[in-house]
Amino acid sequence: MLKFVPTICPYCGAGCGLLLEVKDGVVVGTRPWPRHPISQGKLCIKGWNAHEFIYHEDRLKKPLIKEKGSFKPISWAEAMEFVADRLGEIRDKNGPNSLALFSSAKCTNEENYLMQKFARVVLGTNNIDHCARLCHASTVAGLAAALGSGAMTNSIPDLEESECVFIIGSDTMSQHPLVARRIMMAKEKGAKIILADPRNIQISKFADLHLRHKPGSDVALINGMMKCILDKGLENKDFISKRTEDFDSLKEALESVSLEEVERVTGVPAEEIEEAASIYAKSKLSSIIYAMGITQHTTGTDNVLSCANLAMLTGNMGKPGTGVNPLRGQNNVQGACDMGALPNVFPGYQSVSDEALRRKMEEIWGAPGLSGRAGLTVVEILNAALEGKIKAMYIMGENPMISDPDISHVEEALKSLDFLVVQDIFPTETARLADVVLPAASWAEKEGTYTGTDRRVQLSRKAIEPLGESKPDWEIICELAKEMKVGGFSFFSPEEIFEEIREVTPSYAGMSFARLNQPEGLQWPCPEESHPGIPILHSREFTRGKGKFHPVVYREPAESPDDEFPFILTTGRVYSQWHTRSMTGRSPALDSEFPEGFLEINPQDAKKLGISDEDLVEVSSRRGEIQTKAYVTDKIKPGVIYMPFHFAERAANRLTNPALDPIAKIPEFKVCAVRVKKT
Amino acid sequence: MGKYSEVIQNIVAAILKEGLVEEVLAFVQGLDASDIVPSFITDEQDVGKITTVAYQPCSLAKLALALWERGKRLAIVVRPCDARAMVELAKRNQVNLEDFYLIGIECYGVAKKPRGEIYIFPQEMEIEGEVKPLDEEILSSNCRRCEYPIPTMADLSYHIEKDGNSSVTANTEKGKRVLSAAKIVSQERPKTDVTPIKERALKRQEKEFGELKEMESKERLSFWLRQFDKCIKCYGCRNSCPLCYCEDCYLRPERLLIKRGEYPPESLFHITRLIHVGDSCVNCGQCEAACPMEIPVSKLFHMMSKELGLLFKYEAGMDVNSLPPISTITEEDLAKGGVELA
Repeated sequence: MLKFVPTICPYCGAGCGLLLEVKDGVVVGTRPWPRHPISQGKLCIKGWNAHEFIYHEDRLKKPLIKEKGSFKPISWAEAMEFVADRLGEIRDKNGPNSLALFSSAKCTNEENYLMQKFARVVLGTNNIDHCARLCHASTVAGLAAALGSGAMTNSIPDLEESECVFIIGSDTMSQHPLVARRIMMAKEKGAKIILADPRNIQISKFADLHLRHKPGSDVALINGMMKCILDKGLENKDFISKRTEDFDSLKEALESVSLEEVERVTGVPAEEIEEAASIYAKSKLSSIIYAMGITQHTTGTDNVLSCANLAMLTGNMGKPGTGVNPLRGQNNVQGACDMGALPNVFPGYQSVSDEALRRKMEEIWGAPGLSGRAGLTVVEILNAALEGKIKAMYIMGENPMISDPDISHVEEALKSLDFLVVQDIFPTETARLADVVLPAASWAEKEGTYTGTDRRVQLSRKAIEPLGESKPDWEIICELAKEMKVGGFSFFSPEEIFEEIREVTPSYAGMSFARLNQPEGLQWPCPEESHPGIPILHSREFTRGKGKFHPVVYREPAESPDDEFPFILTTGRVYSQWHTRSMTGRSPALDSEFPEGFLEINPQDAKKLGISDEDLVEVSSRRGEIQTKAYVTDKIKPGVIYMPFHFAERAANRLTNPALDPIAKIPEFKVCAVRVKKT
Repeated sequence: MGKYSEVIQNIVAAILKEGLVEEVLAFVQGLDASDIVPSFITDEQDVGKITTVAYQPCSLAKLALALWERGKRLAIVVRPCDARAMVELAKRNQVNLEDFYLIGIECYGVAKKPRGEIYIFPQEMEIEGEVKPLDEEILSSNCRRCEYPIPTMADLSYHIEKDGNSSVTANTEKGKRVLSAAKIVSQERPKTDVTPIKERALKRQEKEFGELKEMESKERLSFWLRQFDKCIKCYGCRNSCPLCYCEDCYLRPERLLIKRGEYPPESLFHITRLIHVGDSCVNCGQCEAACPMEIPVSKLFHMMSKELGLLFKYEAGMDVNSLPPISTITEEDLAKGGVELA
């Protein structure tokens, strides 16, 4: 018996459609889904091989408990009882805020919804966060402040309409290939591409202009562009006066910006900045695409605000082919944020500190006394663990032992916990430190919804039964809540959970599984059953009413090169690996493309240090040191080192700086100071 | 669904009922009228889902090759390019045609994008019930170059007229068995003149290939290198190609032919594929349909197979008894010159 089951790709936030080939109850392959609105019958290498990790021998198939340093299998009943007892005990002894949870941007909306409900209702804490903190926390904060909604303004398909695409801090062809497709289609129709990236990446070959600015100088670069636009009178005066506020404060701040200074700070010649400004401002429809090159800085929120300023200044909002378009990383990182797996908001970004909203949630959940104090964020939770304030953690589908900055510190923090539960499909580096490991089912083994980067909520179908004794995350959370004798978790299907999500989340209120059972899905906001969803935000007015300009002053990164650590290290990803490699590292077709870590160093720097291509080198920062292989290439600028962060053995995050953006609390993965020497 | 699907549905129901095959592979409707997906059908109750709309989202020959067990009997509802791919696979000992019943549909091109109920006739197209003059722009580019609308190499050919009349012709003994199971009388194929179609296709080939051939060789090379620069190494062209059947593919990173971890990959990536399927390409267009970056690979492969075809008097997938040039090549052939490709 052979069938093809439509699902949504478990890798990036583009949200491509896949057909899983299932033969006699076993997934044997992946095919593209031609009718899918995002992928249109095409896939990247990760999509084509999405099925490969499902049956890897490392899959966790039984609950495990650590005894005398090694894991032994136990029954689900024992595991649930033990976890419930320990969490209850620690909460009763040290208070609810001695507990913290990491939810997962790989899990469904239903699962993230339940995880935050579990934190708030069962444990009584707002200490819940997830990896959005490490990728787009600054987007959520910055775009919400400027526009009223912290999400991609436009849709992936309408990027094709752009006449100018300004890409800043996104290696789109390797990280969001099916979004890059739309950029290339726009290019085919005559659009100009402006790329701002310190590295020479694949799309550089197709860029009309490539500004290779210094990592961390984005605010200066965009201020410079805006200065040029104002000087030449290319701003959209009508849009500014009708649709925005606080323009004068931006204008005033830009008066003190000098292009010579911008050239010095960014390393980009003033003429190129002028040209970029002019192309962007003169094109009828200009869109901005960005990713972690903008967000992962101590100035991440400032960078995002700058992008919003630039788009509003030229009126590039609310129309096809325009907007500010953050490309979200994980397949469901948008959804995990929407579902309130964040320390300061309930589902739908409803603030926990708003008393009326809290009353509403208490009523729907039947749970009086919800905490109105925002909880801690990812890095703060780990710091608090080290200080002894957080005693226990429940981590679902995250691997901070690779993904977080300054891993040595993370390891110490996790080891200092009294109790750690990790729920995952594989024994990750983080799971190894756990007291109890709960085996979860993979995406192919469950039904549920995922929200893509363009706010597209999509239904993914179950292709096969969970492997071994593993269970879908939603089932595990429900059982744990029941074990802890707390009501409100009697769900028998993802659809039932989704019905509660609609009730709680205004932007999802009009959606249902029946409505989502179509190739397009539905793009939020979708407030009513008859509402078609909104592909382009802010078309008549901004979500917050008027768009708000925020004057932003350039600040240096938290750490700059000096005599001791003379290079800037910037981190990123490669096309065939995914984040901490827990999935791609177990997918032969993907892992064999890029089996080991490396760094990129410019030939000039390599020559000075006597480093040849493929030499083993030692890289160190104030936080740690690692050895890795050097690729000598002019893909990277002199003075800058690039490393992918995927590889545990050569973990770039042993070196990175956990300094945080003051508002979004996102760490500065993109800039730290390092030293390189030949071993 | 599908207004012209009834006859095919009856045939499929009959062969399942009579036990001629264990399963049938065909396109069916998925989540909406534009969502056409492949399906393996075992129950005659399900034949109503089979659709014959002119859209072909993947190669059924590829699915049969990848998923079907040897020795079991499968019927496939095919268009000529899928039938040709099966024939070519049979020549190369990848499938045994005895295991398959190829139920062919005449095809004057398929839409390049899913678009609901669409049927293509020689000079007209019918979209959502409305008949209009054919706009070739909506067709897949490979279809515009295709000279073979009649699946003569399949076991039977199903012919639809734009007024809704249809007829079925058995091309083989197997085809006759199918029709007798379905209690349908085989009809002589109506004498539609395919010459204008052939001429139109050849003209199109002349235009598309001509544009490339007119280039200086340096310019032509840089055209292709520029196209290959867009490649994101998804392997979609290989994964979709019905004639890419090597179990241990040369392009796998472990083989170290193509430098690991480099993207775009070296042009050798595409050249290797060209060498591998150059003489077997049936111009089904699936490589190009799978390409996220719209590299015109199908054009390149088709051009290669046409050049080789001229030289060796060979056309892939037409006749199972006509063997590939590589196995019939003579000393004399080796001395021939004039192959001009990229």
